[in-house]
Amino acid sequence: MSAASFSDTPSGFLLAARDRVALILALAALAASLLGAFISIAPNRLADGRPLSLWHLGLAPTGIVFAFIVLLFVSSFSIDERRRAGTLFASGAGLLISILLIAGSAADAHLDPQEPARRIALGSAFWTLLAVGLLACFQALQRMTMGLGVALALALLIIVVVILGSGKLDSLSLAREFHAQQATFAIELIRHVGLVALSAMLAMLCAVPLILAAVYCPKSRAPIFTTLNLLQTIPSIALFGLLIVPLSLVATHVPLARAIGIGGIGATPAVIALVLYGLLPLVRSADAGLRNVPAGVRESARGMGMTPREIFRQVDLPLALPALVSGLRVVTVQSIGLATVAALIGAGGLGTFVFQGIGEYALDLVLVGALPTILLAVMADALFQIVLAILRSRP
Amino acid sequence: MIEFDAAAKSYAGQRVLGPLTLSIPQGGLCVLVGPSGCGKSTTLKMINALIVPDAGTVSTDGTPVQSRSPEELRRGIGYVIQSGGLFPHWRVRDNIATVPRLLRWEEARIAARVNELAQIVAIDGALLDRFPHQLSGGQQQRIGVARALAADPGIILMDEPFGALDPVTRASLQTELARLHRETGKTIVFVTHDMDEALALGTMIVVMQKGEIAQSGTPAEILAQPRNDFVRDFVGGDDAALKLLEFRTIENVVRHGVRISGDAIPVSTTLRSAFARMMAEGRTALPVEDESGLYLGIIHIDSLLAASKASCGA
Repeated sequence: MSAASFSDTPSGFLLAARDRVALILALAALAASLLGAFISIAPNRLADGRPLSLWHLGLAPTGIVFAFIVLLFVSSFSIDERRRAGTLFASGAGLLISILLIAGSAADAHLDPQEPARRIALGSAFWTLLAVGLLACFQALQRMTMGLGVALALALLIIVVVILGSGKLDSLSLAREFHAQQATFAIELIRHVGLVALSAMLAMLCAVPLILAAVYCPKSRAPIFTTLNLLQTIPSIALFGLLIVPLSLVATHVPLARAIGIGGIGATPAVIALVLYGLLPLVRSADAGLRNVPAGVRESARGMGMTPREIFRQVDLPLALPALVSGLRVVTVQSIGLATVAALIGAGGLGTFVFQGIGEYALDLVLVGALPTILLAVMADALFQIVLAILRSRP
Repeated sequence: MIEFDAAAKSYAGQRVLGPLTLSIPQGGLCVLVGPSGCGKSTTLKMINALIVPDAGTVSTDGTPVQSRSPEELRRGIGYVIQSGGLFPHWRVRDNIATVPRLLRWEEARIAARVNELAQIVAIDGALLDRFPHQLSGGQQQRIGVARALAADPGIILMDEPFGALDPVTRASLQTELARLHRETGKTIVFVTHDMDEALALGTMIVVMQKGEIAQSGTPAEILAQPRNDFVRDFVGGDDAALKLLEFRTIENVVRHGVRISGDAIPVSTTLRSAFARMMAEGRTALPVEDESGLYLGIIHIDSLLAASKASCGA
């Protein structure tokens, strides 16, 4: 059946879209902006808010958002591959920038000096449009050449950072929560990144002997993978909790350990847990990478007189490198998320805001912890994707 | 000169090879041929110590293989395997330069040698900066041969190098290899399971069966006097008589002084081609001329039959 015959019926028209993902995103954006609250206004931090839809904010904001939704819709039908990616990115980026500015100015407009405790929070329509905008951008960037993609992504990032830094969004409750936490935010962010970086590095160090054993000593494969799989099944909170007892004992009985800060709570159990969770992805991907080195390649390396060390360094390692890096990518992204939970055992990090927010029933405070965590994970992932693309471009 | 002296190999108590005694002369192209599992690859890999015999010795130029470090030994012996075994992450140029780099040649000398080898194996210089996966199977195999020749080793080992190629590419690479062998005078040991490939290439053929040598000799000897039924079957049974015609020219069976009409065939024609020509033209005799086109006489089917019967030793 041809595309033309699909167009004869209304549902057939939708099926004729070239890019179904963009089409679904456009429909989701449309539904959210019609049905959901864009912002909500509450008398104070704890009370429930009064929802305001996009059209309550005026004709101009509604018009702008709808224009970008229409552009997104049109992009899904565009026949030319490159033009489709371009339109998709333009609509996604336009949506992101416009909803940020609209939310900021709407918050400004609804501030009331008579009511200083009034909170203007972001609603479901805003979050849906934000998600649609980001997904449209990612979808578009993946279809572009790497140079163009990186340039556009950086440009968009700079614009968003400028908007966030300009103070235009400061009236939103999320911004106010952020400003209230500003003194500790930088510290917790650095702690979070530090926890992830330290545990990723330690995980790599610990993974090396396991990888070598798994690949070059077949008998040790089964026990290594069984143990690592088992570790992975322990819930993170349980693992953090389980580490408290032995580490407290170490701290009580070994003065040196206590002196360098090892204890039942704090960074030590957090790092140990993150390292343990990081081992399986690292060992599994390295194992797959090394075992995928063709036997013929290894045999000819031997046959031409390479020493085992030369074979490992010049043949095995470079051929397995993309797999090693993708393992590290999984570990980094996973640790950024898991490190949030580490705040529970006093390791600090962005999770501090999440748990504080849950405790106070202040959802905006939860977001102060959660949004940067998501952003960190996305950025780490993008960085590794770029490294992998470079590695794979030279076979 | 490569010598096997009662070399044997067992795996898990099961004897897979030997005891094998064999001498491969300097400058020969020795083809080890036999069905899979006959031990031909094991034999080959004993020469560069990829496999070490449990008993007996293998030596090259009078020096036992085991007396040197395996890496040093292997750097002096070219090695080509099926599908090339090229390093996928290195450009063709760097693949060819593998052994010279291991031997720490200067870069200028390596670059010159790589360009020289590209000409020797008839590879376009533009391909040198590509990666192996951008090349056809035949081109990859040429690179594999160039890589084996790189440090100018006296011995080259080839383990079913053309096994994965299509028949046309395979035939052209066989011709190239025969030319290379003539021009360089290297000792080549070549493993294949294809008897026709063995007959086309070898100056010496070793037919192997169940880890032992069934028969060794020149192609004509193997075809004419198969030592047992296994060899007879392997060389093609009654077809062997036809294959044997390939190894003799019509020169000695021309009847001089007789004149018939038709297109003359050169005196360097093989018995096999002459026979095929008779069948194609439906004639029992063909006119023959020498290299300069001078009329010599005729070749008659009776002389052909007599010649083939004589060479079959029947």
